[in-house]
Parts: sequence; C-alpha cells; structure tokens
Amino acid sequence: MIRLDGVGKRYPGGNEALRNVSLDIAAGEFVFLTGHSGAGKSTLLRLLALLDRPSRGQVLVENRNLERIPAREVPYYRRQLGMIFQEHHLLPEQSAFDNVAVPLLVCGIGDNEIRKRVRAALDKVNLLHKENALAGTLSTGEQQRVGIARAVVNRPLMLLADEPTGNLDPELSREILGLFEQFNRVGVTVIIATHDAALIAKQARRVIALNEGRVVADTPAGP
Amino acid sequence: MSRARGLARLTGHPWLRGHRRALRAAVRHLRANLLANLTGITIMAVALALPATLLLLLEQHLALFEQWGAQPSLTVFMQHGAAPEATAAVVAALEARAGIEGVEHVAAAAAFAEFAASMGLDPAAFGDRNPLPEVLVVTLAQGTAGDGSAALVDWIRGQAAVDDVIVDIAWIERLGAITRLAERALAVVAVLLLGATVLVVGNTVRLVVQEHAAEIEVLKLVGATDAYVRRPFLYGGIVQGAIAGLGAVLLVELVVIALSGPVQALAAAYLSAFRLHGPGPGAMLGLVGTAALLGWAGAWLGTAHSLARLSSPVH
Repeated sequence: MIRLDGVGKRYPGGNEALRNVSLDIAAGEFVFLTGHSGAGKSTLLRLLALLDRPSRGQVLVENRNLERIPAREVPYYRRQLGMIFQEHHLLPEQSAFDNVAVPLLVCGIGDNEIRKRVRAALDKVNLLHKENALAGTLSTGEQQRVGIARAVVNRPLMLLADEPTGNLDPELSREILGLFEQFNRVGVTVIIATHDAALIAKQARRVIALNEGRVVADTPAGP
Repeated sequence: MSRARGLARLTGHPWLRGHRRALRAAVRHLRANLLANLTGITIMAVALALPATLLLLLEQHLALFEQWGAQPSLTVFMQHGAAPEATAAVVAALEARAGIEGVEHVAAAAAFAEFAASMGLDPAAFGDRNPLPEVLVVTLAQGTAGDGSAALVDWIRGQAAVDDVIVDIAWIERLGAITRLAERALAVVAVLLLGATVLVVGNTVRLVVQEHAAEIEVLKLVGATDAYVRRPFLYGGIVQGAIAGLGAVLLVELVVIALSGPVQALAAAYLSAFRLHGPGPGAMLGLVGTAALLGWAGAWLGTAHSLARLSSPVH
C-alpha cells in the first residue's frame, strides 16, 4: 500500500531530515515509527500526507506516485487520510460535534448524513455524551479522542498519528492505543510516530526505528 | 412529484450545498461582527456615493445642455458704409458654404429704426448719420463648432468689406470643454475611489482570514480545496459590498433631496423647468451590483495573499 523508494528530504537551510529511506507498508498493517525527536518521524508522515514533497526518491501510496499529484488535487488525496497530531489542532471555540464534522463539510456531505456519521465517530471514542461541549473545555485525553474521531469520520484508508499520546499519562495512552487497534481491526492501515518506548514494548507490532533520517531497524510484528 | 425530487436532488448537490453553507457562514459572521464591519461598509458606501452623485449631476447637466440645443452662431459686422453690393456678395458667399444653416441680414437702417424706437427717439433727428453698421447673423449647422468654425471666422475676417466677427459659439465651446474636463475628472476620481473600496474590503478580509488562520489550517489538513476555504470570505465580500451599495443609494438620494430645492430655484431664474432627479431603479441596481462586485474583488484580494501563505499547513 505504501512504498518509499530512496526517499530523501532536505529542508531549506540544509537540515537533512530523511536520507535514502526505502520501506514497504502493506494494507492493514499497524506500524510504529520510533526514534528521537528530529530523527525524521514527522517528516515521513508529512510526506505521506503531502504536506511536504521529498527532495529525492519516490513515495507511492496505493501504486500512485505522490509526485504526480498536482497541487490542486492534493485536497482530494488528503480526504483518504486521517491525521492525528500531538497538539490535536482542534477548534477550541467549536463543539466536539462541529470539530468532528469538519472533514464531512469539506466534502459537501448532507446534514443528515453528517449527523449520523459524526455521532457514530464520537460514539466509537466514547464521547457521544460530550458532543455539544466546546472542544476547549474538554480534558487533554478527551481532546485527543475528538481528534481521533475527526480523523476516522471520513472512513480513511490510513491513519497517520504523530505522537498521539505525547501529552497523556500511561493509562490514557493505552486507551488511545486501544482505539487505534479497533480501527486497525476493521482494515485501516495505522502508522504511529512515537518515542514512547514503554508503550511500544507492550505491543507485538512492527517497529521501524529512525535515526538521523535513516532507517536503523525494522522489527516485524511479533507473534 | 418527480419534479420535486429532481429539485431536491439539485439543491442537495454537494457543490450547491457548499455554496449555501458558505453564504450562511458569511452572513452569520457578518452579523456577529456587525459593529466592526460597519466602519468598512460605511467607508465603502461613501466612496461609492461620491462618484455616483457626481455622475448623476453630470448626466443631468448634459441633458440640460442638449435640451437648450443652443445653435452656434456668428455675428458679422460690415465696414461702416460698406456698399450694399459688397454686403450682398458676402451673404451669397456664406450661403454657398457648407456647414451654414442660414444667414440673416440685419440692415443698418432697420436696426437703427428699431433702436431709436426702443429708446423713444426720433430717427429723423439724426439725419443721415446712422452709427450702426450692416450686420449679418450667421447660424452654423449643429456640431460645426470648433476647428471648422475657426477656419470660417478667418475667411470672413479676410473679406475686405467685413469689419469684425463676434463668435457667439465661444461659450458653448467652453462649456463643452468644461464638461469634458469634468467627465474625465469624474472618471479619475471614480477609479481611485473604487480602487480604494477594493483595498478597504481586501484589508478587512485579510484581517478576518488571519483571525481564522487556525481554522483554515484544520480545513486544509482534512482536504479542503482553496476554493472551499475562500468561498465564505468571497460571500462575505459580496454581502458587505451589497449592503454598502444600498447605503450609497440612500446617500445619493439624500444628496438629491438636499440639492433639488436650490437647483429648482436656479433653474427657475433661467426660466427653465429643469428638476434634479434621483437615480432610477436601473441605476440603483447597477450601483448595488457594482458594490457587490467590488466587495467580491476585495475579498479575493484579501484571501489570495493569506491563502498562499497558509497553503502548506503545520510546520
């Protein structure tokens, strides 16, 4: 589903974020990207989301070379993805419901369908009872769950999460991870960038380790 | 039944739905920030009302000018004591020229008799000494004022029997020149003011876009097109412009009401039934439409800059 072929990314100023990265991720896989901050995890996710373009090499998603997607088609490509960030990028003055509805509004979906799908997504993250609460008034864990609901409401092919448990205590982190596993079970490809070694150790998942922009280890899923 | 369903399908089309939502969002935002937007709208209304009023006045001034239809004419004074044959020859030559509608010969004796009668004098008391010359009033064809008439005046002055020519068309030419100048000045002022309104709206919208930077970032992350992001702002500009246009119509009407009394008094002094009219329904619609268009253009300008900057979100 995802193939990186000799991918390099150099930012203006000479910072080499990725160097000659090649890897394959199959459809339905659950993958951790690890490494210190600055190892290139976020850059890799940015390339997959077309928030950036690689300086070298090719990124293919579903056999489509992302390089060949012109700027005006990027929005349509992004609608197939669900993105989750550490600082969740919610609109604090809007309700949980309205935050989750944004991707559906962007696609021009009707009000009834939006109501149905937003409620279903909020239900999956156990926040249906808070649909009218302003996002800014929710706890950190709840905000992260709203962010996840927003990422999945459009039924994406893959979920890209950048340090989704960065601000959470271990118990909340496990809860969030449980949500990702739920979506993975129904076939969504999940890629999580994290430096939370303790969290990864408990999972028998594939782990791709990055260091200074290179893949230094690729441990397949355990039994 | 099937037609209703077809209509529902049409109004339920994602594209139309997007526009409806954008318009609703724009109106909601405008209402929530009415006081802040009122300044911009007022500036725009005044900036529109000024050239609109001038245009209105100029148009009606031109109408008045045409209504008077003053025929340009020349007054030719023959040499004192010019031979009747010489005068007749000049008349014949003038009548033969193109661009001349008619030549009226005011005979010196007749003019003197009329003059003496109006003054209550006895013409016999002057004997043969008539101080008045023979006069020809030459009526020119409409539209010959200007270069053509200058050549004619030169030709007439060149005739031996002619003493002088007074050009009665000079004031018409001057009026025409002033009118053309006013028209040009109005065009310049209008372009400047309309340009300024575009910038005013552009600046307002730019600030609003900046306020919504976080929201725009989220929109782009979840796959909103630039058109989607821009749409509510464009509708905002159109709505603001239209409101300013209505305000401008109101202002023009007020100016007309304020001026109509003195204008009527002035016209009456010139024995004219001229009245100042407000803009007609077409002109009003045009003003509102122009304002909406300017609002749209300003919003486009205001979003273009910020969108380019925000086009690659999250860094």
